[in-house]
Amino acid sequence: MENFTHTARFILICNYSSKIIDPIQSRCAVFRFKSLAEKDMGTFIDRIVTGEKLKIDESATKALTELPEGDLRKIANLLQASASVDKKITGDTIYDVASQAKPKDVRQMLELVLKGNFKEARKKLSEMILNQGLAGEDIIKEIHRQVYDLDISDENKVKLVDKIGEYDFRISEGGTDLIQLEALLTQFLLLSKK
Amino acid sequence: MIIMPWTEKYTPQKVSEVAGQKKAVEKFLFWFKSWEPGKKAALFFGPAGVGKTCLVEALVKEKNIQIIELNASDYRTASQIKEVIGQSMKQMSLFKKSKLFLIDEIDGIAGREDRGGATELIKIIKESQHPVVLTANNPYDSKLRSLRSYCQLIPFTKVYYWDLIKRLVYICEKEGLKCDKEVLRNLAKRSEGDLRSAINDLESLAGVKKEIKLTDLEVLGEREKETSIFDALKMIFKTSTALAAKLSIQSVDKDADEIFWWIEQNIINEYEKPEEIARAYEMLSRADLFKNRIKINQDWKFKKYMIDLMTAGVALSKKEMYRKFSRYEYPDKIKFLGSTKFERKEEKERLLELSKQLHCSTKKIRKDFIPYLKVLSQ
Repeated sequence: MENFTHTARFILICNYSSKIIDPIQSRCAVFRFKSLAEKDMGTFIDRIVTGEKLKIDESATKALTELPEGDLRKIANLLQASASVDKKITGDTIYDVASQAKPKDVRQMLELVLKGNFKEARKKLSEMILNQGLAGEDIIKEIHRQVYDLDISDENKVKLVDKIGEYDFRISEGGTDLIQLEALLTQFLLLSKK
Repeated sequence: MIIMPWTEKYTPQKVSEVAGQKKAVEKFLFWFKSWEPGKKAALFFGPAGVGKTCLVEALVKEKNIQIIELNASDYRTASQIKEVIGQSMKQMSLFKKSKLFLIDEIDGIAGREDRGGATELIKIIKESQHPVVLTANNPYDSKLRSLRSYCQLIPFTKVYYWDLIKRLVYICEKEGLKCDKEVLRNLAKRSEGDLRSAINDLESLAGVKKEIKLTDLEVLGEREKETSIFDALKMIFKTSTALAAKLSIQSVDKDADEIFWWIEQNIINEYEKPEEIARAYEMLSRADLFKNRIKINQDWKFKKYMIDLMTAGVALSKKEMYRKFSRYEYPDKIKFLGSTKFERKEEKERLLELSKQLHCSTKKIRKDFIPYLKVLSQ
């Protein structure tokens, strides 16, 4: 870089500045790109929606800002894939296309089991796995995401995270999705308020 | 007009202009005056951007010496180095009084596995008719071990805060730039003693403007807002909210593995009741399990469980907050790993060599063979 300062400027791009050694960093002006705010993602989604003349409802916008975790490229991909399914895009379309568990379903399931209604929760679970064809790992990911919002003590949240991790491990060791998730739900059942 | 980057435009023209580094300058001048063929080379070492190369270049300009510069990261092997320096080291300079070799960033040079770059350097130092200066970030690198005894080590420190400010103010004046004092202070602080990066930051802030305000700093990112590991530890040990503990480490610029050891080290500096300590360690033990599952299965999905358990888990191991000030320590484990890095690497190389010859795993060699070899060699 130093040899060619008279003729060229260099722009280096990386994910983590801490992974770039000091001698290089010292020769650069460092610009940090923050992850995008929801508002910015909204603008981006709007641009595509108007450009492609799509119809999209509020739940879809919400899903698009939540699922890709600030990754605009992922938003564009998801939106394009969803548009090829249906010109009218809803939140459900997005989750279907991304083959992710719908937060709403998982939320319902967890609330049911915490109320002590294991039977209905189990039904919900098999609906997701058998009918929607979701992978156990994707459901468990969503469960983990939601634990912190549940109406239980923080101590129990920690206990549950430990259990969730354990059953996640069992699934990747070859356990059957349905069985492992049912077993995990019973751990929630133990905390149900009767 | 060629636009020169400020780091180059304002590079010191005289030795006295070099910011800070009084001791290094003194040592270097003494070495330079007393140098004669056959004597040791000078090895400058210290962090990036503190003036190692600048000092040599300033001396050369001041005394009208011809400089032959090569960057060891570009010329790594013996033959490449020879090509550039080879004959030149025995000849006199054609146009100037004398000559000096500067070999930059010798950390980048290859050790024995890459065709003898270091050995060639030693040869040059021994035979050269002109002084040789080497620079490095870390002179204690194993590749440079043999080279070190042919060099006089001259340490460079980080540039002090006030020296940084002085230099930045000087540049502002020269550029006719109006700059908020607070901005300069901020630039100096975030550069952590790296003058070059401070100047780079100043230049990119200036852009085409003639005035810099505090609000302009935002484009440079928020390095100063990053929480330190100590703040994160405090959060974990004092809070009783799972989510707060979990989020505390998000903006710490260390990876989860390292933070794990920080927490491990400091549980006993905070918690006092046996049952709480036991519960905290139980949580760490679970986190550790997930940590290794990441490694064994090569599956990063387990990382979230590791993090949750080591932060929220440890946080909720206490019944209530300790109202006291706790001094948090640097983890022993990381200290140990740092100090034995070199030996461990050597041992690993030896074991790998043996495992090739003996057709078994390094683990087996360590367990079954090494003890016997030790007895045999006594």
